[in-house]
Amino acid sequence: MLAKTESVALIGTEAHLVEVEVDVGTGVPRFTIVGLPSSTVREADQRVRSAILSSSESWPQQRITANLAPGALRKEGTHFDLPLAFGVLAASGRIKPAPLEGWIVVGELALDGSVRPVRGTLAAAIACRESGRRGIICPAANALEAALVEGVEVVPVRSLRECIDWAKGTWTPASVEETDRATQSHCPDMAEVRGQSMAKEALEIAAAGGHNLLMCGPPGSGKTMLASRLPGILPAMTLEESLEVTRVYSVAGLLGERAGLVTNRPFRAPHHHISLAGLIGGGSGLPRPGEVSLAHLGVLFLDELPLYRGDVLESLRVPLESGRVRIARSSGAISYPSRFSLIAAMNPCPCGFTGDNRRACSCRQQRLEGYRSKLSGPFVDRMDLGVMLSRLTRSELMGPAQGDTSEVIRSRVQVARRLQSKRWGGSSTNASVGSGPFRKGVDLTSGARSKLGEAIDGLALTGRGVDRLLRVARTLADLRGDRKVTAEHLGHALGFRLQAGNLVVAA
Amino acid sequence: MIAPSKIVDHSPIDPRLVAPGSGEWPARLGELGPHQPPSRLHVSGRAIDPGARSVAIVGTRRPTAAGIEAAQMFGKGLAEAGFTVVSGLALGIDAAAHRSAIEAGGHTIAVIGCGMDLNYPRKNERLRRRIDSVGTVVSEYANGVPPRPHHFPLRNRIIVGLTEGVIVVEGSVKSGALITGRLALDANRAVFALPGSFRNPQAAGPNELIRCMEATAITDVQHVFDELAPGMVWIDRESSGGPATIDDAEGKVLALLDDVPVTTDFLVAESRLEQGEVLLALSKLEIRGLAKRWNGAYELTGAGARLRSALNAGAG
Repeated sequence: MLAKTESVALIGTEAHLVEVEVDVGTGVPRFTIVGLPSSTVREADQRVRSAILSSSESWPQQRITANLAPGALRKEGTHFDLPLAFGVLAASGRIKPAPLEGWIVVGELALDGSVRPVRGTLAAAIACRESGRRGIICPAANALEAALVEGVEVVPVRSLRECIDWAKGTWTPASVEETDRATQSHCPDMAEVRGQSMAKEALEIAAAGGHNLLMCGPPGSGKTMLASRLPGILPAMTLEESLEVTRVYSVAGLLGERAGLVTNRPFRAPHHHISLAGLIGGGSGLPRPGEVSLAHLGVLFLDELPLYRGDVLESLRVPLESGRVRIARSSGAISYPSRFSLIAAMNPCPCGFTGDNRRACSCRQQRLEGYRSKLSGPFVDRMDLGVMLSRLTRSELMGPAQGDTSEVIRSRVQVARRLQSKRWGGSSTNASVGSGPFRKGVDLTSGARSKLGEAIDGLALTGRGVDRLLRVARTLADLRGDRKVTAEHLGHALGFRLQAGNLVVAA
Repeated sequence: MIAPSKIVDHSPIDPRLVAPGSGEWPARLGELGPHQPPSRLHVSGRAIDPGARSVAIVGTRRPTAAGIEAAQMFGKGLAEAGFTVVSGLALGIDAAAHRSAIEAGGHTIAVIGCGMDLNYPRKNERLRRRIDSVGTVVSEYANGVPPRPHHFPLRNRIIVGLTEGVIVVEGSVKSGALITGRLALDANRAVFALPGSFRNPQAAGPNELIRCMEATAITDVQHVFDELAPGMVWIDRESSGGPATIDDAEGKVLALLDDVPVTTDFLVAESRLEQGEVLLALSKLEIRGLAKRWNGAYELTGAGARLRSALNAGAG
């Protein structure tokens, strides 16, 4: 007898419907899975068999063939266990196939019949809504995720036994309880930082416009301390943005049981020993999103930038430019979103004293060049903002901490973000919007125009330099709620520009 | 040590040998005081004129903006006056001196510390090619000899030998530039040093030479002429006209700028202006060449310093 259930295959953050056909017929007893299964899917036969037996059902002593269609699509992941178990039970007449129609089933089985959480439930629920299916049967641990999608019924299950009883109509699932959203993470306050008002403002601009920032300063000048306070000034995410980010975290398997929706803007700070696959994405089986994707719509913070491997840094160029990463596999390429704001910190040289007025740099020339050569021109070219931190003076160290609190800064940042989303649409920022629409939408006063001309001549700005300058000036105008970019905004923005031939590479 | 790569050129580098008695051999190369003169030199490019006046400009590989500006001023001024500008093809001050001499249409000689066929330092490859075509490159070492650390002090004695005087622009008290200055003293050459701020670690070397009365403090090309070519007068062709008008914020910021880089945070704290106002004023000053941004901090340029003193004189 033949039975059909439906599940999904994950490709990137997209879920594609997969039909799970199970045929139980005469022949030598064995369980075969076909339809391009990966090894994790192929191992499902052992789990399904034990789980069914543990759920006080009998295992059909017949030839069982399962087919995952479309056959050309590669299937990865452990979430096919539950639909396969359903198929075996229905095809062998233990349950009726009718109640399963219109449901998408995902879940991993343990040998004792309990249901374990899986990756990508949110994507599956979205696929469920888009294809007009009725609802989703998923592990209870993933239920909050699935419940985020409106118009999709969710049946959270803890064990195969519950699934069987549900199909027989003898068990009804508890409704998914909403958890309270918006739990702003606690991070230290910006107002606690002494001095460094340039760096603070640079972080505010970066947070408001989604810009990339390079902070350069001697050890102890507070680069890491400042960056750790950045999450507190990042703007809140809209529901659409939250769903986009949650989708990535769901595929990465990083959503906890209690966390339905990711509401805090991501802030990722990978260590400098991170591998290429860790940063960009990859790994065996279903490729995992890397740090660049986990930082999607948020911030990727790289401390001690020159200590990262050269190839790892170079690999950032494409995601920085296009906002997506493609991971090529023999079975085809998948892509993950990766539109993040890069905040990087570094010492000016290995000893840290280049540019210091009180102590000479003691680095040997070769070491210095090796340290700086990691940052290639094109990489530096993508940094909108540059700020040089210096060690604090005695009066700054002894004086009171001053400046706005994170909350005050955050409210300014929020306003600036709202203006940007009104101007560019969606979640586009001054940093991410394409150069065509940007040039059309950036409104310069006549004073700003002549100032720009003077700056191009007087400071030998390049085309890319002009573009970055205008974007930063636009964000400064947004932070002040000004409709047009003035000469003052431009002059202000010039103080934050990064000189490729200067700040990073010695003359 | 970074391995130098081969200079790949249309024609293989085949330097000519210049020894005492040759028409290119400057007699003063033999007058090195206690130091052993080279027995011969490998030379490529333009012929060395043994009768030409010549001065060396040496300094640190990690200069400040002021150091670069000084190297350019001396390089240009001396080249325009017909002096050959000699230096060591290192990064920083050396490179700035060579470049400005070439741009002024003068003759420059680069004395290197390795075989002529090697490209070292690699970052100066383009400059090396320019000097090969319009200037002269000199080495004591045969093709293929790598740059060893002990070659450079020896190379410095050739720089001294080729010149009548040495200008030490910037360098720490242990720098090669200071070694060159002392070699010049031993060889009875004129030694000049550019004084700098007590806060600038790179000015410590020249300041030390002045303190020990081993060098003449110079701040102007004219000072070099006064010593080596009395009667010669330097006219800066690019000296600016009357003082430009600057606004209040620019004036406050200009008054706080210095020869050593000061940070924007310092300027904001001292001027009691808003950060945005300070940055705006700085960008205006920078666009007009009155201030220079360097490693994210700002310092005064020569033009800025002249304007400031003109303003002070006007106010007083």
